[in-house]
Parts: sequence; structure tokens; C-alpha cells
Amino acid sequence: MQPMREPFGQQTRPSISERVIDSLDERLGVRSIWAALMDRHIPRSVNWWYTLGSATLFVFTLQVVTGIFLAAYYVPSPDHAYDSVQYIMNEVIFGQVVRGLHHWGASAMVVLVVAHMLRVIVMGAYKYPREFTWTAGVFLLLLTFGFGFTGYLLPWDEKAYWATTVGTNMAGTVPVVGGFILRVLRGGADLGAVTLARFFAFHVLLLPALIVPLVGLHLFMVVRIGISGAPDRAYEREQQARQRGYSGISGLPKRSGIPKR
Amino acid sequence: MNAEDKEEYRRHYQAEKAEGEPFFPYSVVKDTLVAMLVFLVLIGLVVAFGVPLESQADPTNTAYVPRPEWYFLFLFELLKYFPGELEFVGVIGIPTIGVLALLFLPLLDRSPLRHPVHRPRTIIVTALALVAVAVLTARAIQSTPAATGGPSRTLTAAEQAGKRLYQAQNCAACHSLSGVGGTTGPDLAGITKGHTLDEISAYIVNPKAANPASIMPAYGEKLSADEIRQIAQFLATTGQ
Repeated sequence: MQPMREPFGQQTRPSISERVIDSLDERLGVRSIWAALMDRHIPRSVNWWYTLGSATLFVFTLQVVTGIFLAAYYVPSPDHAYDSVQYIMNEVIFGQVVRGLHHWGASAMVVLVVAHMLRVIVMGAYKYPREFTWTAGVFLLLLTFGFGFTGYLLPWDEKAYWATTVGTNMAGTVPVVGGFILRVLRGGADLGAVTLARFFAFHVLLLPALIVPLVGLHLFMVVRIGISGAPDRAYEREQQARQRGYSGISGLPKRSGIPKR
Repeated sequence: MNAEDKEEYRRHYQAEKAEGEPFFPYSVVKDTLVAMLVFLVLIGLVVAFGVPLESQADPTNTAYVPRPEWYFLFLFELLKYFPGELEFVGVIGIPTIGVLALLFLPLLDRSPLRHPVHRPRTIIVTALALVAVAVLTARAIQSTPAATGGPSRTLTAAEQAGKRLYQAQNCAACHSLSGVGGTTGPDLAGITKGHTLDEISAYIVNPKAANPASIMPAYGEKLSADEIRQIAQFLATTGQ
């Protein structure tokens, strides 16, 4: 992108905004960053199904923002957790909306992540050269479930307490190491104050520290490799036919890359 | 994929990109519209359904039927098919296989073909997994007792009194209810399924009469016959 000049008028000096952009470009290379992120070309076959990933990113951002807001009022102790949630609901301005968005946003995350994954499976977009983008995505799915599981306990209501009791009990059934996992999750034999503090720490410190860099890596690979186009059936059939013809010629070595199906 | 297939893909993709359109504004507009739609749906859910908050956690409320969040229901339901010692197969075995299959999907499906009609195996397995999750989730929802979702069933006055006695006498020091509590004595959840209220009451009055090996103290002199009966009635509400 060339710096734009006023097309007419006496002013030959660049405008304020241009000068700001120029100085940022000199130091940070904002123009090349813009070019890499926004001017990159995407195949025309990219359609509405491709918005599921960015919609997930949007809800993730919403979860971060509403989560920070909630953390400003929430107290992770059995004596105060429930009261602090009630305070958010009844006293804090827009508290009910913010907690509502965070609550429903958690379900939306799961729905969108799974829908995004199904789109990638159906379109075969996990194939070369995007295998690691896919692997990072599977870990992001697991982290999303981790957020859901740890966040569920925090309101410290009946549902939270008993669902987590049952959920952590499941971990205890694993042979040999089950008891150990159970104690690590609960911070003791029973579900109590330590469990709540621990789940809070997982939910707001450990899991974010894992998911943020992984989201960054996922997006870096998406931008670097480029968005896959929707598969083209006619092109693939042609390609198959070409390869079959190729291997059918006598005297030529059989190609190893013939699709199995 | 071999080197030739990779080369072919890169060539094809570059050609696709060359005649493509820039990310901004074409994709950005679509992404923004969908993000706005998602936001409106979320606001709609908040307005229509609010945000649930049940009564405060009560570790002694053993009548509460625990339910995981909806996206874990299929796992919860799956466990019912693996009772007892086999439970870990449902807890760890099947989910681990699922996660590994996802992680290694690019290695499991290595053909250079991408269109779904050219990849029936992957598509069918995915569809079967989806159907399984959907059926398990539906069955879990069907088997949800009516009382869940809101506060648990309100106890009658006698059951309520029995619950207070259970807490006051610190029964949970030795006994557990559905896994919550002490381990010296047996788990009492659902004990009334095998014994009548009279048998339970008599046992609490003098455990050694029914079971000479019992180390449980007799409550016949500490509590009245009515109170003991109330504890038995409370126990009858557990383990359902």
C-alpha cells in the first residue's frame, strides 16, 4: 500500500494520519503486517462455512472480556463464592448480562468449535500442508472442554458442586493412577475449599496461559499457509484419471502415489 | 502424500489463490456479520433464559441428582454401559481412542483427495461418531429426573428433620452417601431399597443386635424412636 497523497489542493505535506502511519511503518512495519494479514488472497471457493473459525475466535474474545469482568468481583472460596456470584447478578450494573454472556458463551464455544472441526473434516482441510494447524486445533478443543469443566464449579451452587463431585469421581476410576489424579484435581480426598481455589487457578491462570499461545500458533499457521479452498470434485476426478492413465502405460514404472480409493 | 502430490497441490492452490479475492474486505465482512449474529443469539439467550443459579452448594444434600453440563452428558451416559470394574473403559478408554483418532487424523487419512465423496471412510466414521454422541446425549436427557434443573425435590418435614439429625449426629464421619462422606461404615445411599424402614430404625437403635460384628455405636438411648424413624425416612430419599 503506497502512502496516499492529497490528489488536489495546495497541501503537499502528508496528512496527520499518514504521518502517524508512516512513522509506525518505519518502526513496526505496519504496512507489511497489514499486507500479510488483510491483502492476502483467498480462494473464491471460500464460503460462509469458513466463518465458523473466526466466530469461535470472536466468542473466545468475548469470554476473555466477560471473564475479566467477573473475576473482578468473584471470590474463590466456599464461604463467599456463591454470595459474590449473587452480588454480580443483583447489585453490579449489567452484571446479569455479563455473567449471562459468559455462561451461554461457554456453550457457544463448544458448539462453534465442534462445527468448525466438522467443516474441516468434511472438506478434508486437515490434509497437507495444514496437518499441524489441525493438531493445534484438536488441543484447542480439549482446552475448551477444560475451561467448561473447571468453570462449571465456580458459581458454587448445588449443580456446580454435585456435577464436579461426579466428574472428579470418574477420574478416580482410572486403574493405578486414578486415586492420584483424583487428589490432584480436588487438592485432597474431598471436594472443598482447596478444590474451588484449584479450579479457579486452572480456569483463570493455567488454561489461559496454554490456550492463548496455542490460538496464536493456530492463527499464525492459518495466515502463513493460507485458507484452503473448498474441494473441487471435478478437478479431483480429472487428477485421478490422469494418474490412472499414467500408471497404465506399459513399460513405465507404477507410480506410488495412486490413491487407494 | 508423496512429493509429486504435494507439488500438484501447491500448484493448484496457488492458481486458486491467484484468481481469489483479498481477505479484506471480502472475508472480513462475512466474519463480522457472523460474529454479530452470534452476539445477538447470545444476548437473545440471556434475555430469554437468563442465567441459572441454583441454591448454594450443600455437601449434605444427597438427594440432589448431579448432572454435568450438556456437552459432557454423552460421557456421563456412556458410563452406564460400563458398570463396576469396567468403568474406566468408559471414562478413559473410549475418550482416549476418540482423542487419538482426532489427533492423528491427518495420518489416518493420507490420500491426496479432499472431496467428501472421495473419502467415504472418514466421512462415515465421523457421521457414526456424531450419531453416537447425539443418541447418548438424548438418552441422558430422557433419563433426567423431572426434579433436576431446578432445586432438588423438597423434603417432607420428617425427612428434613432426619437430614438435620444425620448432620447433627455426624453420621457422615463414618458413612458416605453416594461417595461423599466417611469410609468406616458402608455407603448408605439407597440402603432402604434392601431393608424396610423398621429394619433400618432397629439397626440404628442397636446395631449389634442385627450384626454382632458391627462397631457402630447404638443410638437407642441418645435419640427418641421418632427421631430414629426420621433418619430412616431421610435415608429413603437418597440413592435414587
